[in-house]
Amino acid sequence: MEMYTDLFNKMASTCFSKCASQKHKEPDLALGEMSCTDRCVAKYLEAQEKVGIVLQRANEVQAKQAQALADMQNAMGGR
Amino acid sequence: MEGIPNLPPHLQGEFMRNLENIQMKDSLSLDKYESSCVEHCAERYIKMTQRVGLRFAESQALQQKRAAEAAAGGK
Repeated sequence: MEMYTDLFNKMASTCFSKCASQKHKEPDLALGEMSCTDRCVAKYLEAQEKVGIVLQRANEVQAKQAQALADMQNAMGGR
Repeated sequence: MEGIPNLPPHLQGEFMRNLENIQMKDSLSLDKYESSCVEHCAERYIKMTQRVGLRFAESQALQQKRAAEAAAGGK
Protein backbone atom coordinates (compact mmCIF):
# COMPACT_ATOMS: atom_id res chain seq x y z
CA MET A 1 0.00 0.00 0.00
CA GLU A 2 2.79 2.40 0.89
CA MET A 3 4.21 1.76 -2.57
CA TYR A 4 1.13 3.27 -4.13
CA THR A 5 1.28 6.43 -2.02
CA ASP A 6 4.93 6.84 -2.89
CA LEU A 7 4.30 6.21 -6.59
CA PHE A 8 1.40 8.64 -6.63
CA ASN A 9 3.29 11.43 -4.88
CA LYS A 10 6.33 11.10 -7.10
CA MET A 11 4.20 10.93 -10.23
CA ALA A 12 2.18 14.00 -9.26
CA SER A 13 5.35 15.93 -8.45
CA THR A 14 7.12 14.90 -11.66
CA CYS A 15 4.17 15.66 -13.91
CA PHE A 16 3.66 19.01 -12.22
CA SER A 17 7.28 19.97 -12.84
CA LYS A 18 7.07 18.84 -16.45
CA CYS A 19 3.64 20.08 -17.44
CA ALA A 20 2.66 23.10 -15.37
CA SER A 21 4.09 26.42 -16.48
CA GLN A 22 6.04 28.00 -13.64
CA LYS A 23 4.52 31.40 -14.28
CA HIS A 24 1.29 30.50 -12.45
CA LYS A 25 -0.64 33.42 -13.88
CA GLU A 26 -3.96 31.67 -13.51
CA PRO A 27 -5.34 29.47 -10.72
CA ASP A 28 -6.60 26.91 -13.27
CA LEU A 29 -4.73 24.47 -15.48
CA ALA A 30 -4.66 25.30 -19.17
CA LEU A 31 -5.97 22.82 -21.76
CA GLY A 32 -2.44 21.99 -22.91
CA GLU A 33 -1.31 21.42 -19.35
CA MET A 34 -4.21 19.03 -18.79
CA SER A 35 -3.47 16.91 -21.85
CA CYS A 36 0.21 16.97 -20.90
CA THR A 37 -0.83 15.58 -17.50
CA ASP A 38 -2.79 12.75 -19.12
CA ARG A 39 0.16 11.80 -21.31
CA CYS A 40 2.55 12.14 -18.37
CA VAL A 41 0.54 9.73 -16.20
CA ALA A 42 0.19 7.17 -18.98
CA LYS A 43 3.89 7.22 -19.82
CA TYR A 44 5.00 7.29 -16.21
CA LEU A 45 2.99 4.17 -15.39
CA GLU A 46 4.19 2.35 -18.49
CA ALA A 47 7.80 3.23 -17.70
CA GLN A 48 7.27 2.09 -14.11
CA GLU A 49 5.98 -1.27 -15.36
CA LYS A 50 8.97 -1.76 -17.66
CA VAL A 51 11.41 -0.96 -14.87
CA GLY A 52 9.61 -3.47 -12.67
CA ILE A 53 10.01 -6.18 -15.30
CA VAL A 54 13.73 -5.47 -15.74
CA LEU A 55 14.23 -5.54 -11.97
CA GLN A 56 12.34 -8.80 -11.68
CA ARG A 57 14.46 -10.39 -14.40
CA ALA A 58 17.66 -9.22 -12.66
CA ASN A 59 16.42 -10.68 -9.38
CA GLU A 60 15.69 -14.01 -11.04
CA VAL A 61 19.18 -14.15 -12.55
CA GLN A 62 20.74 -13.31 -9.22
CA ALA A 63 18.61 -15.91 -7.43
CA LYS A 64 19.66 -18.58 -9.94
CA GLN A 65 23.32 -17.68 -9.48
CA ALA A 66 22.99 -17.80 -5.69
CA GLN A 67 21.29 -21.18 -5.95
CA ALA A 68 23.98 -22.53 -8.26
CA LEU A 69 26.67 -21.37 -5.87
CA ALA A 70 24.88 -22.95 -2.90
CA ASP A 71 24.45 -26.22 -4.81
CA MET A 72 28.13 -26.25 -5.68
CA GLN A 73 29.12 -25.64 -2.07
CA ASN A 74 26.81 -28.37 -0.88
CA ALA A 75 28.21 -30.80 -3.41
CA MET A 76 31.79 -30.02 -2.37
CA GLY A 77 31.13 -29.96 1.34
CA GLY A 78 29.02 -33.08 1.21
CA ARG A 79 31.95 -35.51 1.18
CA MET B 1 18.72 60.21 7.11
CA GLU B 2 22.35 61.13 7.41
CA GLY B 3 24.97 60.22 4.95
CA ILE B 4 22.87 60.85 1.88
CA PRO B 5 25.13 62.63 -0.52
CA ASN B 6 23.75 65.82 -1.84
CA LEU B 7 22.96 64.66 -5.31
CA PRO B 8 21.84 66.99 -8.03
CA PRO B 9 18.02 66.89 -8.27
CA HIS B 10 17.86 64.80 -11.44
CA LEU B 11 19.83 62.00 -9.73
CA GLN B 12 17.97 62.22 -6.42
CA GLY B 13 14.83 60.68 -7.90
CA GLU B 14 16.86 57.79 -9.33
CA PHE B 15 18.63 57.30 -6.02
CA MET B 16 15.36 57.10 -4.11
CA ARG B 17 13.96 54.61 -6.65
CA ASN B 18 17.04 52.40 -6.35
CA LEU B 19 16.81 52.55 -2.58
CA GLU B 20 13.16 51.47 -2.74
CA ASN B 21 14.03 48.55 -5.03
CA ILE B 22 16.76 47.35 -2.68
CA GLN B 23 14.40 47.61 0.27
CA MET B 24 11.83 45.59 -1.62
CA LYS B 25 14.38 42.84 -2.35
CA ASP B 26 15.20 42.65 1.36
CA SER B 27 11.52 42.51 2.26
CA LEU B 28 10.53 39.77 4.70
CA SER B 29 7.03 39.38 3.30
CA LEU B 30 5.68 38.51 -0.12
CA ASP B 31 4.78 41.23 -2.56
CA LYS B 32 1.52 41.14 -4.54
CA TYR B 33 2.99 39.26 -7.47
CA GLU B 34 4.69 36.65 -5.30
CA SER B 35 1.56 36.25 -3.22
CA SER B 36 -0.78 35.57 -6.14
CA CYS B 37 1.84 33.37 -7.78
CA VAL B 38 2.11 31.17 -4.69
CA GLU B 39 -1.65 30.97 -4.35
CA HIS B 40 -2.13 30.04 -8.01
CA CYS B 41 0.67 27.51 -7.82
CA ALA B 42 -0.93 25.77 -4.85
CA GLU B 43 -4.34 25.67 -6.56
CA ARG B 44 -2.86 24.33 -9.78
CA TYR B 45 -0.90 21.69 -7.89
CA ILE B 46 -4.06 20.49 -6.19
CA LYS B 47 -5.97 20.42 -9.49
CA MET B 48 -3.19 18.52 -11.18
CA THR B 49 -2.99 16.02 -8.32
CA GLN B 50 -6.74 15.43 -8.72
CA ARG B 51 -6.34 14.84 -12.44
CA VAL B 52 -3.39 12.49 -11.88
CA GLY B 53 -5.52 10.57 -9.39
CA LEU B 54 -8.35 10.31 -11.88
CA ARG B 55 -6.12 8.98 -14.68
CA PHE B 56 -4.34 6.64 -12.26
CA ALA B 57 -7.66 5.17 -11.12
CA GLU B 58 -8.74 4.71 -14.74
CA SER B 59 -5.48 2.94 -15.51
CA GLN B 60 -5.86 0.68 -12.47
CA ALA B 61 -9.45 -0.20 -13.39
CA LEU B 62 -8.40 -1.07 -16.93
CA GLN B 63 -5.54 -3.22 -15.65
CA GLN B 64 -7.84 -5.07 -13.27
CA LYS B 65 -10.35 -5.62 -16.03
CA ARG B 66 -7.68 -7.13 -18.27
CA ALA B 67 -6.39 -9.33 -15.46
CA ALA B 68 -9.90 -10.58 -14.73
CA GLU B 69 -10.49 -11.30 -18.42
CA ALA B 70 -7.17 -13.13 -18.68
CA ALA B 71 -8.02 -15.23 -15.62
CA ALA B 72 -11.52 -16.00 -16.91
CA GLY B 73 -10.28 -16.68 -20.44
CA GLY B 74 -7.64 -19.08 -19.14
CA LYS B 75 -10.22 -21.43 -17.66
